[in-house]
Amino acid sequence: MNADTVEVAEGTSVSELYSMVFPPEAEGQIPVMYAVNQRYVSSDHVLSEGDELAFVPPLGGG
Amino acid sequence: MLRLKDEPIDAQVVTNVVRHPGAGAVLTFAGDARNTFEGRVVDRLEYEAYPEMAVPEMERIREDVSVQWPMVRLAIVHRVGCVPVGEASVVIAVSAPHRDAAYAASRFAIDALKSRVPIWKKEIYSDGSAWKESQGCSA
Repeated sequence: MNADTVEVAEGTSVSELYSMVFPPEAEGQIPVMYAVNQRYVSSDHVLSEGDELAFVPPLGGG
Repeated sequence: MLRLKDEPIDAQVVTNVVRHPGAGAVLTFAGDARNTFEGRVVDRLEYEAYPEMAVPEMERIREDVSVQWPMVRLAIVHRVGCVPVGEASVVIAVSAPHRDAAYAASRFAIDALKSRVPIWKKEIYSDGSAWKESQGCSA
């Protein structure tokens, strides 16, 4: 897993940050779920200072 | 017991965790690494997890189980790293007073694990492939 620290404007949602991090052609290619502070959130979840956001690609456990 | 493990899972140990005198039904599910994937021969699987979230998500699955089946006890152990064909990548043990709840909760738990717990796998093929060059998996 890769990790990075980024500064975003107040009110930025997790899906907006996804669009900033990944090239536009990546959008919709791989479905992702969003997790903030180790818990799934919806795509319109707004980030707060110090949050840990994960883009969770299709799972393969089991 | 809800954990990730980078060594073989002893299903008996996981099962014993949920056993108690009030439980007449004890059910152990093992998900083994299979030798084929999409028609190709698989040599082994390599699992990677987001551990900081995987275990909390297992805890949330256990909470969901306890809401739906209050008498059920649940234990989940999932392998990370290299899993040779024929070894268990996951073991789920449940106990309940009676079998109906045990079967239902076991099924719920494996389905929830597959759809919610952040774990990923690579199939490493025996016929030579990009995955074969994968690092850190030489069982």
